[in-house]
Amino acid sequence: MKTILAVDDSATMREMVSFVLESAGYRVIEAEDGAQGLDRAHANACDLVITDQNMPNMDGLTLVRSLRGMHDYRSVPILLLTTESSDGMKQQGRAAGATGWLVKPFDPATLLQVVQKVLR
Amino acid sequence: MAIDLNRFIATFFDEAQEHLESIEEKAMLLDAGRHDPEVLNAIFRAAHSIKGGSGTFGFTQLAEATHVMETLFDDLRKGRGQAGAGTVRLLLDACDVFKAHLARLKAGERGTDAAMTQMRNRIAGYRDAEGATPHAAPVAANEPARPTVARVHEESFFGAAADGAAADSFGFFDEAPGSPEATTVRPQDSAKSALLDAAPAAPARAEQSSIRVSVEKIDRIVNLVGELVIAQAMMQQSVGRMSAKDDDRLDHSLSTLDRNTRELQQAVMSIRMMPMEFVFSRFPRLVYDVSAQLGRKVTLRTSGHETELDKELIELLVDPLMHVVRNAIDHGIESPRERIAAGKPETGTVGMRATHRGGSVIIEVSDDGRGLDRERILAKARELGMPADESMSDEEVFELVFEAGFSTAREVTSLSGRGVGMDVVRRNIAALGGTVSLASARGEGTVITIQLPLTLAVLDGMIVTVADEQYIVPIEFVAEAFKPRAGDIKNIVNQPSLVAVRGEHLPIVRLEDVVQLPPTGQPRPEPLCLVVEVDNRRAALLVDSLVGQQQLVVKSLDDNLHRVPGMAGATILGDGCVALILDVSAFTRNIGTRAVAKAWA
Repeated sequence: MKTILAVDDSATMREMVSFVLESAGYRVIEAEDGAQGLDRAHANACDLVITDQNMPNMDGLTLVRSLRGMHDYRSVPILLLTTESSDGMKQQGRAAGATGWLVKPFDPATLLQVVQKVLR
Repeated sequence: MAIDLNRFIATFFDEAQEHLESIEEKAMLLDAGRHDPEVLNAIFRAAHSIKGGSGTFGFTQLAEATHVMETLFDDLRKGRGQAGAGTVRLLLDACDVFKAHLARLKAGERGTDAAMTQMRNRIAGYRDAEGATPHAAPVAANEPARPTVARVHEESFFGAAADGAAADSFGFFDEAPGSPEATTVRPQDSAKSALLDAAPAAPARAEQSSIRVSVEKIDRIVNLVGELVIAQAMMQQSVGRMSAKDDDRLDHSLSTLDRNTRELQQAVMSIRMMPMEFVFSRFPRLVYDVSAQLGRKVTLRTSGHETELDKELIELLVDPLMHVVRNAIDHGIESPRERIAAGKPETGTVGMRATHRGGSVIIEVSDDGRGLDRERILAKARELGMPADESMSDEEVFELVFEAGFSTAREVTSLSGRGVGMDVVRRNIAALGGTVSLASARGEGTVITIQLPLTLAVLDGMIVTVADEQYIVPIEFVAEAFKPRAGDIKNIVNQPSLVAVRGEHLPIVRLEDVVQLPPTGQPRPEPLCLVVEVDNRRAALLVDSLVGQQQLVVKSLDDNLHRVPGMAGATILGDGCVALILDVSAFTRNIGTRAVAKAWA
C-alpha cells in the first residue's frame, strides 16, 4: 500500500485529502505544519508528499527544500497544494524542488487523478 | 468521484471558530504594542486558512471578507503600512461579524448577509485609507469562492512543460525511494543538505499528533471504566470474604487487576482534561471591551495556562469567571485619574492564575484596585435588613457580598449590575462541586479564589454510617474527625447544638436529621464528629461510625431520578450497595460558624 504524507495546518483540508485518498486505498499520514511534516517524513517512508504552502513553524517551500536534502526523499514526488497559483509561486516551487502543484479548493476527482498519475 | 462535502463541514466550523479566536488573541498583542512580524503573520495565516476552507464549501461571503483581511495583513507583514489602534478595533469587529456569520451558516442559512458585505467593504476601505499601498486590482479578484473547482493543469507539472532535464528526474515516481535511479541527483543537492541541517530544530520538536473524537464516545468509555472499577471493587470484597484469600496467586492477580483498573481509570479521565488556556483565551477580549467601555486602563496577566481541568468544568467555568473579571474591572479598578491621585500606576492589573493543589484546581482572579469598602457593605447590608454589625470581622463582612440580592454598586452599570451578583457566582461554582472565597485589602485590591475538583466524574469519599445506612462525605470538605467527650456538646434552646473543638464552637448537624431517619427507639452508639468546611463555614457532622475512604464514581441523581435536596449524587460501593453522596455545602450554608459568632457575641 502506498503511503502519502498530507501536510496542511487546516484540519478541514487534512480530513478531506485523507478521506479522498484513503477511500482510494492509500495510506495517509497527516501533519499539521512543515516541521511536523519533516518529522513524519523522517519516521515513515512516504511515496508521495502533498503539502500546503502557508503554515506556521515551517512553510511548504522550506519543507520541500528540506525533504529534497534527505537521501530518501530526493526523488519522491512532492505536490504543492496551495491557494496561490501565481507565476512567482510556481517559480519558487520549482526552484525548491516540488514536482507539481494543485490549486485549492480542489476537486476530489482531480486530486485522485493527479495522485494516481504520479504514483502510477 | 463524488464525495459529500457535508461530512467535513463540522470540522470547518470548529476550525474557523478557532482561527477567529486566534485572531482576537493576536489583536490583543497588537494592542499591547507588539507589532512583530510573527503576530502579523499569524493573523495573516488564520485569515488565509478560513478563506481556504470557506472557498471549499462555497461560503463566498466569508471567503471574500477573509481574503481582504488576508491581503491587508500581507501588506502589513511586508512592512507596507503600520498596524495601529484602528487595526485592533477593525479586527475585533470583524471577528464579531464573522462569528455571527458562521452561526448563520451553521444554522443552514445561505442567503446574503448584509453585515458581511459591510465588513468586507470596511476592511477594504481601511486598507485603502490607513494601511498599505493602494491596490489597483479589485480585492476579490482572486476568484475566491468557487466551490471545489477543478483546476489542475497538466502543463503545470514543472517537469513536463518547462524543463526537459528535470522531466528525467521525475520519471521514476513509481519506484520506491532509495532505488538506484534515485541517485540521479538534481543540482544544488549539497546546498539542500545544508539547508536540512539548518532547518530550525524540526526533528527535535515534540510529537503532537491528535485526533478528534466526539465527547459522547469518551463519556461512554468513562462510564464503562466506572462500572469496571465498581465490579473490580465488588470482586475484591467477595474474594476477601472467601477462604481463597490464602491463595497467593489469586491474591496477586487481584492486586494487579486493582492497579491496572486504577491506571486505566486515570488514563481515561485524562482524556477529558483540557488546559485552562481554553478559558483564559477568552479574557483578553473581554478585558479590552469592558475597560474601553468604562474608560479604565487595564492590563490582563494570566498564568497557569497549562493547568488541566475536566472539559465539562472548563465549559461551565467561563460564565462565572467572566462575571468575576467584569466585577474586578467595574468595581475594583479605579479610573486612571483616581489611580494617579492614589499614587498608583495609571494602568490597573487584573490577574488570572490557575494552579493544581491536591485533587483540586485553584483559580485566582486578582485586581490591584480599590478593594472592598467595609463601611459601604455594612450600610448596604443593614439597608437590606441583613444581620450586620460593627463587631463582625472583615472576613464576615466580605462574606455578605455573597448573599442573594447584594450589590454595592452605587448605580447599576450596564456591565456588572444586571442583577447577577456574587451569590449567583457562588451558586454556580457550588453546583460544580467547588467553592468561592474572597480576600480584600482597602486601597490595594481584591482576590477571588475559586476552588474546583479536577473532575465531576470521580471523587474521593469518606463512607459514614447512621443506623444501618451508608452515606458518602466528599473528602475535600472533611477537615478532621474525632470522638467528642460527653461535656463537649452543648445544647441551646432554639439554636443548633454546639460542639467545642479546640476552643472553637461549631454548630452540630446530625446525619440522622439530614437524611430524616425515623426514630427507631434503639439506643444510639456514641457519635463520631466530622468537622466539615465549605466556603469558610464550618460545621460538625455527627455520624455513628466511619467505614473508610474510597474513590467513587459519581452517578447523577438528576439523570436517573430527580434532584434530592441535601444530596449531591449517588455512587455504587464495593459491596454493590448504592450510597448517597451528601451535599455538604447545602447544610453548611444554612448553619455555619457565622451564626455561631452571633450566638456567642
